[in-house]
Amino acid sequence: MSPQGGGGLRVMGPALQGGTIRVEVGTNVDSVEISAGSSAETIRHEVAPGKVNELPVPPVPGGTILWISIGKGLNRKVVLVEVLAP
Amino acid sequence: MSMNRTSILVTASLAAVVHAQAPQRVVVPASAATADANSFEWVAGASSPLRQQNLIAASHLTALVGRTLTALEFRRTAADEVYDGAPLSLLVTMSHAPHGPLEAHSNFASNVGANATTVFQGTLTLPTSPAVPAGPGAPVAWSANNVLRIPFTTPFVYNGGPLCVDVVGTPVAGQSTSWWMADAVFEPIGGAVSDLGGGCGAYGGAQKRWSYASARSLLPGAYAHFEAYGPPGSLGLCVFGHRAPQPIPLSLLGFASPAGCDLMLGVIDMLVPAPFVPDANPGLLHRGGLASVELRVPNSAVVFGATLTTQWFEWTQQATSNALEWTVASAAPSLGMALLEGHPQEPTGTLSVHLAHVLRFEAQ
Repeated sequence: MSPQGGGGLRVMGPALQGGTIRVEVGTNVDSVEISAGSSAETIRHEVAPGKVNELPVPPVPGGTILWISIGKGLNRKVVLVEVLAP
Repeated sequence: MSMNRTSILVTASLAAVVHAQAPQRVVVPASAATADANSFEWVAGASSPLRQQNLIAASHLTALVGRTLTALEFRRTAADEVYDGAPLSLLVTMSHAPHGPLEAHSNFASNVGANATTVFQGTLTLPTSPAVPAGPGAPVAWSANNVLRIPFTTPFVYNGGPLCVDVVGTPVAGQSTSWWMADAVFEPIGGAVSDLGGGCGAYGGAQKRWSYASARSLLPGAYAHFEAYGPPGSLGLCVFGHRAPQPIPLSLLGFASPAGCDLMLGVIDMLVPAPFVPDANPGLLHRGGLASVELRVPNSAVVFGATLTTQWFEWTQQATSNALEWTVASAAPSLGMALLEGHPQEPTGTLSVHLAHVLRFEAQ
């Protein structure tokens, strides 16, 4: 599966329910934010030293679009990933 | 015999000239001269407009004092992946920084020295770089296809002291590369953050965790980052102090607050107002507005291991955030480098004092 995103943030592989997603961060930010498209809950994960992170997929139904982002202002980077049922 | 002696003298003279002109190359940090460092960082202009300032302590540069710097290089990180090349426009400025990395500011202009010199302005090409099958940790040669080389059109004489390498990069329209990561070194240190609860209101999910503190920013010499989500356009109060022995329900203090709003602070030292700014990306409006507060952590032993508590208050909901008790790292970073990164159109960026590019300088 081709990586999604680029330019400092990308997601490798699928986001399976109950699984993890591999997120690579190429900037100097220290956290990744994940939220589902309709909820006011945003989960933050600190970026690991190697900048490659296995992050848990939030407990949302299959088909939910996750908004994965880093940074702020003009340096905001966003990648959308669909959660797949296993 | 006379001819032989002449030949020897000429040869020796030529060798001396060649030696004098042979460029000296210095890698910062030296530990990454031949080894792949433990992190990676994008390159300004490879895929997005970007400004990156690397501040380097004098201790890394002793071999270059009095030398004329003639080029700067970034080496790719080790990964089993081909990096596609692309042209990029660069503006590179060098200066003797007014302070060291642990005194760096989040404002770009404040880190630039008085003798700022534009050493390169123009277009270069990131090379298409072959995969490194052994992956992270495998050595990567400083060869042309692994390196972004920036030859200085105006040389820079390094006189000692901290150095500011200021790079502004812009992709060439339609020709950017999505992923070209330069090698970077990361010092895995940080402070600690503990969630005390006490949150309420419409944000933060079932546990009402709508405030955050970055443990890796809790370093002497860094800017500690505190952020919170709330109603877009509303105003938040970021309150710093010391935790209370027991949670205090806000309703007991006369606020018309939702259930579960507990003040977790017993002593209040400082209040910092910050607006909840809506995200420029409409797709992220569901998260609410984001309020940010940065607190300078001085590079002083006085703050090593210091602990405070932070809790936000949002006025329209009369809601408290989850409170965070946080502790500054017990020692200052020893990397001797800092990286300030942001958009070229913004005066400030994100400062890291535990992360920086691996750089190679060429000097005469």
